[in-house]
Formats: sequence, structure tokens, C-alpha cells
Amino acid sequence: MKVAAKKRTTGRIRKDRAATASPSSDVENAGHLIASNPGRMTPAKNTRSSRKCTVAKDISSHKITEFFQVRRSCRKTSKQINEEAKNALRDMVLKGSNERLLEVYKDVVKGRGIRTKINFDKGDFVVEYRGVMMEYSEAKVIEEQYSNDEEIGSYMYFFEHNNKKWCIDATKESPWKGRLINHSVLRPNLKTKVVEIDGSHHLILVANRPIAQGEELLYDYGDRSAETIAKNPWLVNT
Amino acid sequence: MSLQAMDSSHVALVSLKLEVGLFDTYRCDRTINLGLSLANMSKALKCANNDDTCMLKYEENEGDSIIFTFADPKRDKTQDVTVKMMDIDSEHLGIPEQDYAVVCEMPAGEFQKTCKDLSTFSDSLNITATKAGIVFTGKGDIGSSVVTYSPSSNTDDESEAVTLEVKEPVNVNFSIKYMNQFTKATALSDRVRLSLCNDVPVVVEYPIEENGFLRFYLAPKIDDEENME
Repeated sequence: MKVAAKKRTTGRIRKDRAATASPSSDVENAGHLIASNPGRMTPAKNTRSSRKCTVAKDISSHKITEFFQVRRSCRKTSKQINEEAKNALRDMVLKGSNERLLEVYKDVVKGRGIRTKINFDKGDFVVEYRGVMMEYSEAKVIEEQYSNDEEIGSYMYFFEHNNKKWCIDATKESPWKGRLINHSVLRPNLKTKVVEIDGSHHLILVANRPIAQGEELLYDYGDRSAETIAKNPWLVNT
Repeated sequence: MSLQAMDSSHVALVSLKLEVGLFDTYRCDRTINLGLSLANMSKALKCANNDDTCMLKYEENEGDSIIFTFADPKRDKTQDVTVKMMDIDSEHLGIPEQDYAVVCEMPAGEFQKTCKDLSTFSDSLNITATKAGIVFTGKGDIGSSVVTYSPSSNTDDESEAVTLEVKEPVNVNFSIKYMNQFTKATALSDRVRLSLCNDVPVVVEYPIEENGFLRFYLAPKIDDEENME
């Protein structure tokens, strides 16, 4: 008896399913039939509605992917991440791609200065201080020559890297904007950093706090010798 | 070890977690994604006998397959089944943390029977939960079946109790076909936990010996007039 009862219920389900599936398939078939061949109504309807039955069930529920985002795994080892950051920096430095994000402006007192056209986050690479890289001794000779000419401003940046003194001479007029950035010891928003790229080293300027669009870029020139301060009091009071 | 799989129409998601405590020995040097076709994996698992132990082995420099070793210690027999892996692009679904409005626990067998009973009347299962109780409804053309559980307080046997936590009332519809498939996991556990929220996939969870779980996520039915009536 139990078996018979079971059979009857399964029979019912099937009927029930066919009944629920038919309204929607009727609608679709009607549109289909008007467009094509009314003569083949019966067979067409049968085959379609049986196929539709399985499809209809699937589309009656939402998809789980509507609720849960597909996440492509982008896990990387820290080595990979470092490598990528290094490559990105390398590209930015070598291509000078940040140059177009900065603009030159004129200040009545300071002369030319550099403003940013975008926001930078703390730690972002901003621009390279480009010029002629030379060793300390060579630079000293050149500096001596420059000092005779009052027209020449200070564009020589001395720094130490791997226990060796270097200098970048950006005195020569060039389109690179790093050389035009003004000094501030009191409120700098950039700091200098030396990076090795493909065996040679570059002096870059990195944001030391978040910088908003339109702000003037400033960093500490670092020159504190009594002689230069006497000549350039702005080194300590700006 | 975690497993995630979806059905072909992407309505349901399976999430299986087997914690280290479940394994006799477990070694995994780093997080790794392995893609397997469920069909092929079940072919491998069908080779196993009930009392066999199973070892899963994958070694990075040994090609793109996983070895299932079934051992029958009584007969000193082992069987190695190698299954080719599939490139699944390391894709998986991120399941967000969800604060569910209703959490209901009941005997797994009870839930299985309810789903089975309701599926004889309807394709869809309506679950309505309020502080007063949880109601499972299957309504079809030939009639309907309504199962109501009031949160039991007087049951002595804890494993037989139906417990209900309701922060907000819930009224949701699901395809019962999937629910019936989920209840095949009833053998895994005495209890099942349903976590519900309006317009969010339901979670049907079967705990595995306190050291893991098998969870099914099912997306709700699309609410149109036809389903609502």
C-alpha cells in the first residue's frame, strides 16, 4: 500500500510541475508561433514546454553570484609584491611619467615653484630630481665655477649613497620639474630618497604626508653650512 | 582544507571545511588552490570502501594531478587513484560576513523529512520565521503542506530540540529541489542549522564533528506575482 501511495504522489508532482511550467511557456510559444508557423502548433508546443520545464526552474531563482562576488585569487608572495612595486617605480622614474602631473608656477618672492595637479598619498613617488650625476670631487670643482656667476642659482644636490658622496647637478635648464621644487625646512611635503634602478642610482622625491591637488611641492634642501645660511637665510626660516 | 563548488546554474554554493583536527596527519606548506571536477573526484571516491582510510596527496612538482590513496588496513591493501586537475583560474566566491536575522537549529532528520514532505506539493519552499515559531510552507495546485515549529522549551533531549533565535521576522522563498539535495548531507550530523535573512541566500549548515562543516548556500527565488500568490 505504501508503495502505491508513493507512486501516486510522484505522478502528481509531475503533473503539478507541468502545470506550473505551462503558463510561462505558453506566453513564449504564442509569440513564437505568431511569428512563424501556426500549422505546427501542437508538436512544437510539446517539445518546447518539456525543455522549458528544466530551464524555467533554473531561472526562477536568483543566482548566488548576485550575492557573493567572484574573487579571482590575487594572492602574491611578499617577494612578488616588492618586485612589482619596484618595477612600477622603475617605470615611473625612467619614463618620467609624473612630470605631466606637476605644473610650474611663478611666485613673486621665490620665483618659479612646482604645484601638483593631483593628490599624492604618503609614500608615493612624486618626481625625480634629474640632472647630471657626478662624484663629490668633480661637483666641488663645478660648484666653485658656478659661485663666480651671480646669475646661477643653486641646483646642485649633494647626497650620500653607500658611504660615497655624490651630487646631482641640475643647473642646466631642462624640462624636468624636480629641479624647480622650492625649499622648506618648516613644512616640507616631500623627502628625498636614493633608489637603485638597473645598477645606477637615482635621487627621487617621495611624499612624506598626503598632498592635495594644487599644493606647492617643498622639500628640505638640507644644506646647513654657516656660509650658505648667511647667503640664503630662507634655508632656515621657510 | 576548504572546498567550494557551485551547481551549473549558479543558484547554490557548497562550502566544505575540514579542519586539521579531522585528519590523522595533515601537512600543507603553503596556501594552494587545487581545481578538480566534482564528477571526476566522485569517481575516485567511489573506489573507496566504507572502512578505508583516505589520503589526499598533491605535490607541486609532480604534475597537475591529485592522488587519492585508499588503504584497507585489515587486508593490507592500498589503492591509488590519480585524478587530473582542472584549470579553475583560482576563482572562488567571497562570502561576506552576514548577521542573520534568524538562526534555527533542529534535528537534521527532521529538516530532511519536512523538505521531502513539502516537495510533494510544491516546487518552492516558503520559510516564515517570527519569535513565535518557524513555518515551512509548500503550496501547490493540488494542495499544500504547512509545517510549524514552535521553539521547544520542554524537550528533555537536547538533540531533538528546535531552537530559534529571531532578531527580525523573515519571509523567504527557495527552490525546494535544491533543499532536497542539501538534505542528503543529513547523515553527516545530528543537527542542522538554518541561517536566514530576507533577500539573502540561506545557509544550511551541517557541522562535522566540531572540526568543520558542510554549508550550502541557496539564493532566494525571484519574487514575482506568480510566486507570491
